[in-house]
Amino acid sequence: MNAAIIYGRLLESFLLNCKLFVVTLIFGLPLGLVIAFGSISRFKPLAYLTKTFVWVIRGTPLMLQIIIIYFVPSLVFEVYLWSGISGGRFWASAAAFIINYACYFSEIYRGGIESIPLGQSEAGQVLGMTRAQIFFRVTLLQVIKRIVPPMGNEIITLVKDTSLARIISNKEVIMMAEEYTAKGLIWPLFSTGLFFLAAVGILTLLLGYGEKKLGYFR
Amino acid sequence: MPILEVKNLQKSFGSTEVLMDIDLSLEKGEIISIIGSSGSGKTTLLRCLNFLEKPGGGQILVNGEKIFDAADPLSQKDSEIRRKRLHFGLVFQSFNLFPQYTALGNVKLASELLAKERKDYKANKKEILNRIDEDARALLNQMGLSDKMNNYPHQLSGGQQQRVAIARALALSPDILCFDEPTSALDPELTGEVLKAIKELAEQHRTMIIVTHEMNFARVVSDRVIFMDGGVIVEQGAPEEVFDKPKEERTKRFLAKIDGD
Amino acid sequence: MKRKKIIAMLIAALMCAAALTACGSGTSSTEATPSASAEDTGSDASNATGNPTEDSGSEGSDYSYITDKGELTIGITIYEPMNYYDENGGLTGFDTEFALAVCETLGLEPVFQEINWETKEVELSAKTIDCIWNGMTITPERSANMSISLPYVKNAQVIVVRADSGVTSAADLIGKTVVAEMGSAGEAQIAGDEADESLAQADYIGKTKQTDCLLEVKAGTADAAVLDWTLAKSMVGEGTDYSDLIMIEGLELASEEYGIAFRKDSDMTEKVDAVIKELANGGTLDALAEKYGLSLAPALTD
Repeated sequence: MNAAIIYGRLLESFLLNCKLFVVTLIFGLPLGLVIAFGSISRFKPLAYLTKTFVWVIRGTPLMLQIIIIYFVPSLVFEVYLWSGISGGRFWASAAAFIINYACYFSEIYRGGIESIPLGQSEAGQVLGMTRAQIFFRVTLLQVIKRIVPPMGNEIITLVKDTSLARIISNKEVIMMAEEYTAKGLIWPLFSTGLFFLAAVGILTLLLGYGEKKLGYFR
Repeated sequence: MPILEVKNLQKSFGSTEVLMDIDLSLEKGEIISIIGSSGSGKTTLLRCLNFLEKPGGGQILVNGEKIFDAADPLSQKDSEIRRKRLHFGLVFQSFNLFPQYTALGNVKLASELLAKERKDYKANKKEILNRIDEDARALLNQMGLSDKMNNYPHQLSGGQQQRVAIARALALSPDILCFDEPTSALDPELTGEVLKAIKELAEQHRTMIIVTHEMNFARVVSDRVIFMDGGVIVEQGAPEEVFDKPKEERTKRFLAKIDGD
Repeated sequence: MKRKKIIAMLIAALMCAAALTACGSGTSSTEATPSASAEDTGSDASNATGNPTEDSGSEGSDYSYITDKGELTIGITIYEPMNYYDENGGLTGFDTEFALAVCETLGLEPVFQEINWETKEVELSAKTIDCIWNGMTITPERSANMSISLPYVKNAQVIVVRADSGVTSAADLIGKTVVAEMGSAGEAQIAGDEADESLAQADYIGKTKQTDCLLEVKAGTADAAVLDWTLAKSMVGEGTDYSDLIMIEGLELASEEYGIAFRKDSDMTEKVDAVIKELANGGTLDALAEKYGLSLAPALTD
């Protein structure tokens, strides 16, 4: 088979990985912040429930979560959620990814927020700033600077995790390559590595740029 | 009328009573130093005044207005507290400057945020912000930092950072300026510049409460010295009285320990 | 505070337990309307046990559900010669063309959806596909759980080995490694009640796809694979990508037939059966069978 055609099909299916990656970040990053606030809430029951939720989500395999989110609504509750919407398979995996990664992000946010010295918020308070002002004007940028390295790790892991979506038959790049493996052609599978490598390379550069821009203060 | 009155102030952390029935009064333009060993409650007292700690009992009055009453929950609401805080300014031992803002930015930030709540903000936005900028520059000049305005905290020495912190606290024109051991975190050669800045404020008759270990400085700058120990005010009076002719045993022992160092 | 923690933990544990038992007991509500909250359906499920229950596939008419959609979502795996991509990336194959013909007659838009074979029944119940149409062997268990069409193609399970292996019978494979696709008829020949005597004494490894089995035999990590004759015929031997593999001559295990599976008690099946008969009588199926080197089931050739 023509290598060009194969690469073309692989590239096309890699766009699915990219789409899943972008969607997960767009919804997962803010959701992670919300969950982080839940974990550090002064209202104890909320904090407790949030932490339990994070434990469950981080404590079970993402692959399993994808399958559960995809099949449980229809099989257990007879809510035919995913078959009713177009691209249901994709959005089911997106939902699983968003929730899963938001929990990991939330722990990174929480660590970042809690590592900011108390004096920062106290200084803000005695200057008459509201809690929201203190968070957005003082704390947030300091948190962002601190969490760029661990966030970078998670984001890079996400790139490669996207291929898990094939567990419910989303035809992403590895599943596409497996079509060829079925015919005894194995190099397409190995070359999927190149796509991931390129994506991670671009991200690494972007993250490095981000770290540099935040280097103006310490 | 005293600018500040503290009545029966009490504060416990868990089962430890850190402030026991503190009574204090301060006149406008008066400068008091609070001395004592660690654990005496002096920092806690200062933090209570600035609403960083909530007293378990007692009242705080500023210019006769009761701004805190432990018995009245209404006086303790967050929205109320924010307004009342502005009577006080606090300079921290560890400066607590905001690292992502320049010296000038640090001084301006709170004023700019408060200005947004003014009714005439939208109409006069430009003038308001200009004014804030000018005032901030003036304060930094006053602190001897005219050439450091665009530097970030990590580019400044400890003494310079603390002076920015003082300017930042002054920017909101507090009635009473508090200092929580302002030089304790500084290298010895840098304490001088900060003490000088505070002395200049004293000469302008700013009302100040200074918690400090610098006894010589306290003697020179204060109108009144308060010695605290074990959560109570043991003795207070003019510096010469307290330092040279202490009446209480505990005061004598404390001063002897200090001298012995 | 400690008490609140214990209460919160108990509530969380109760919710987990409720969710798990709901999964286990299967659906028992006869209402087709989706419920607003999980708790409602939870109590419906527990109230309805003891009432006569119908499976989810029978609510309303499957046929109306599908025709209202206008689309028939067809669950497939890429598997020569039934469904596969040609050089230009177009989907083709016996089942592909067969399905296209049936859909045209019924006025439905065919949507081919690749699925994982081992979760095919789950996908069907979940309504993420409307039928399984991929060279699926008809078995008693499958007939009990799904509504299956007329048998349309004959098949058998064959054993594929390396040409140079010297293996000529099932008995040669005792104690050797044999692979098959999980959930397939081939697997049933090796493990399980209906297993072939000799093969039952081999070491079995399950694979997610039939075609992965071919890879293992080729790579030498398995000694033999038990696969559909229809697949082996088109993918193994001279002129194929697996030219160094062969089927053991004259060895056919468990003759079987292929059928199309719909949800249990679906009324779609009889509609499709009618079209199948039409296509058989009209010669369309014969032509397809010849094109792809398959044999039609006796039910259609009578």
